[in-house]
Amino acid sequence: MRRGGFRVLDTVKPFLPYLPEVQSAFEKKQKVALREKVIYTLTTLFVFLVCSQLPLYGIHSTTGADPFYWMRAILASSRGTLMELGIGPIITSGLVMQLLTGSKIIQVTEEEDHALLNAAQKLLGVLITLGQAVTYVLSGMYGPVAQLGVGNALLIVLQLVFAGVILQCLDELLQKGYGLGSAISLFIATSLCESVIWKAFSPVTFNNIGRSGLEFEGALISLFHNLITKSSIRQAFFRQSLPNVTNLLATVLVFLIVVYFQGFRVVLPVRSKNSRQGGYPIKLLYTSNMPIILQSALVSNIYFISQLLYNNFSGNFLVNLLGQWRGPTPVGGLAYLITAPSSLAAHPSHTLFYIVFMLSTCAFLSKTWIEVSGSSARDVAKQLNKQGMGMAGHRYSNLHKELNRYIPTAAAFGGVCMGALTILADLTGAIGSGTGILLAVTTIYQFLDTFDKELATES
Amino acid sequence: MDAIESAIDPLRDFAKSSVRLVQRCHKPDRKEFTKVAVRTAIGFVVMGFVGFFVKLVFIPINNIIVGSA
Repeated sequence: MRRGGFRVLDTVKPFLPYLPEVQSAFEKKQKVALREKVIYTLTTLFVFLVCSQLPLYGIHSTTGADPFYWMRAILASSRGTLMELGIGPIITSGLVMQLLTGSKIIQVTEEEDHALLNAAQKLLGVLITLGQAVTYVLSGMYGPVAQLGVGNALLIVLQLVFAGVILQCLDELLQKGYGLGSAISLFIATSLCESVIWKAFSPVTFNNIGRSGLEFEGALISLFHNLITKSSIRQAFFRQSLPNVTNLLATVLVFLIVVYFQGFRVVLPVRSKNSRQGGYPIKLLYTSNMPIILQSALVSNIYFISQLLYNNFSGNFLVNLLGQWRGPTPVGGLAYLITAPSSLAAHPSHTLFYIVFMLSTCAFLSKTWIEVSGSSARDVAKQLNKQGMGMAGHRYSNLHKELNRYIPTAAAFGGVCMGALTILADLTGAIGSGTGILLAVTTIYQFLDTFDKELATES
Repeated sequence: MDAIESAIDPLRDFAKSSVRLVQRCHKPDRKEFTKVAVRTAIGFVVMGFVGFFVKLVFIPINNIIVGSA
């Protein structure tokens, strides 16, 4: 059995010298100053943002329906730029690795295995980037291949792969001690924040023929404009075609609610053998934003498959059951039912189905996630024991039981809360959909937390 | 009737343990809440504006690149 696991990991060995790797700060025994970490983090962010704006060389067009529209938010990707694939490959490779280790196909037993595991993940990431890039080009997303020509097509693939490798290195940079946290969540959160600020302040103008002529895209800019020119304030608040102030207000509301719930926690009286103080906190939002990410990924995949099938086999009864589409919007079938309804009153049964679907999938995904990510009651009990911590007056088995009283409920209920928040955000029209705001807030919170801890250890 | 009951029971248990969990939770008081909210908001705005300015700067640059290609 052991040999089986090793053989799989061993296949990565020959690639080791070719994979670019960032030297771990921990290994070099260098403590990176907090200030440096912030600079590294900001620079990484900056690189990502710039790459998201640089258009791919050699593409002919980015028009036509974007089949990955729904995944853009989670993947922090931008159509037609170097960041076309965003962090999708990194997330996917991480997910696959988790599955492989979780199902024991790969076994990590010795010290050197971790390096191999890391290398395997990187290799997988590059392969996925390559695969996705080739698929994109071949599927005609940048214009028909014949028009592009082989040279340009190859160039595009190369650019995408190059961008993907850079992303992996950046992520590794931050993870190995030079930065404050994971690059992935940083990018997603920034995309969302930028989108909100942009929708508020964009100076780009649109010509709205038949109404008020020239309009500003940014909601707040438009509000000022309307105040100054004494035109309709009501329009600034409620216009449908461009972001309006109500959207912003809804965003702020959701933001505050999330921040509030972030603070809910149960503190279990766990302490180490030496010290008297301390406690193990179990957050209400135990799995934080994972259930939302997973749920979004699930929904996006259903959309993608359904769209693909519908565009090719729209006559088939089963295909129609899965989803019917008019352009980029689902109008029937399962795909429609799992989309946020545009108004509560108009479609009560759709709304009910949507709510039930959301809440139950979030709860379920959250609960299974704790097993996969190693944060179940059993795992936490094991870890605490390893660190020599235990509950006052209890023994090992009791620690496990005590944790089990709260963790599974926290995971499931936390998932439900996240689902409910997302629904609220969607229904009030908050920017970036509930998912995005939650992700952004939880990420910023984590970063601030890490920042504080670092500050504490430094001073 | 039994089938419905057996379906509702786990839900009822879940609801009960959830309520218990929330009751036991330490809830952020006004001071803690304001502190976290303000800091998170600042982080949010900072990140947002960095992205915003990058995008703003790139609009004309992109136009030039795409225009000449």
